[in-house]
Amino acid sequence: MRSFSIESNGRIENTAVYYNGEQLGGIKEIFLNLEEDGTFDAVIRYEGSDKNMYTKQIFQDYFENIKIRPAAFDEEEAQNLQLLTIESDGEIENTVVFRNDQSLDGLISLLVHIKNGVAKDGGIKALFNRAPDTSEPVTFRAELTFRNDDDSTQVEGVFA
Amino acid sequence: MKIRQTSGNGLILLLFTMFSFVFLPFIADAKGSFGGSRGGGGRSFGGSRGGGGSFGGSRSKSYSRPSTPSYGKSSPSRSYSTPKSSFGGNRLNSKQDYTRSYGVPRQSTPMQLRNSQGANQNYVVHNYGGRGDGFMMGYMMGSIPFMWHTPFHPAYYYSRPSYVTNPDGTVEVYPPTFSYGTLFFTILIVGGIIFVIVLIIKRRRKGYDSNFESNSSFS
Repeated sequence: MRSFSIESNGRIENTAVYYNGEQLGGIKEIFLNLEEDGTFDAVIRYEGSDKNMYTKQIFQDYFENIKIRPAAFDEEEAQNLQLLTIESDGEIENTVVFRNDQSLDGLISLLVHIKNGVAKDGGIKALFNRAPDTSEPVTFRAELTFRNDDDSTQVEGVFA
Repeated sequence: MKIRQTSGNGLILLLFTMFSFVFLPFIADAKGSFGGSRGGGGRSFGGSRGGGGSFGGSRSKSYSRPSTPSYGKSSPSRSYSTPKSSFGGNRLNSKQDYTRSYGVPRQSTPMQLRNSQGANQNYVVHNYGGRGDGFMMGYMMGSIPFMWHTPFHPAYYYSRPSYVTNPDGTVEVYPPTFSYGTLFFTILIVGGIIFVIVLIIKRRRKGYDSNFESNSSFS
């Protein structure tokens, strides 16, 4: 069983990703699409310590040359963030989802798509920008779909 | 936040550069300048004429403007406007143009110099007791060091000497004046260049190859 966590307040600059308790760095994109019908897509794309780009299955592959960085948020900061944790071996039947350390049940689907925009090379204009230009917009989507007792469905945002 | 701090440091450096350029010309030379007082009790350009300052030279006679325009006539004095070249400097219609702004000269010295064509030319050199006098003599001797063309020397911030050609062929020479426009644009350009360089250095030092300097795992 591997543990994959995302701690965030809904803004990509305040998003920390943990893998088995260690915070990762250099991540470009995370895509999680877990559904009760057995769909299990969990992909991470990151820039390794050797500057190469890697795309890996989160719960199956070995994260080659992944950057590990010190924990970014202290306990006080973490109080303002939401923590989503997925423990799994890559099979939907053996997958447990936690939100703020509380396990969830009745899940129909989990969709997380966080993608950082690709930075432009810069130039003179980039020197005067406080935030770097991106040629693609940042994607930040994280939704949980629950089935209620009356068989109705309810979609909740994770980090909102 | 860090980027803001970077910009703030750059701004401080820019202000420091501007401050340095303003005061550098005054610090570099201990003699009096146009805006300050000279040690000998003399006047600066903007001051009113006092009792002293006219010793050691012959005062130039009053100049009357020619009643007829000089263009169209062959005026031998026209080519003698500067010892070395006809280019550079300010040509005045009359010495009143200069004395109206800067007052009566403290000292006027007639001298004879060889012009570019090898002929002797009579000059009346007016001294006002400021730093411009030194620059004026340098220009008149034709020896202009390279540093004078760079912002690191006070002469860069002064104009060329002003010349008035009299009907009798003599040329009156007035000292250079401080050019605030040159100072302003120099500060603007040099400060801007320094600001950009500092930004580049700061960014490289920070390893600003990532999108976010925050706590994010994304970059």
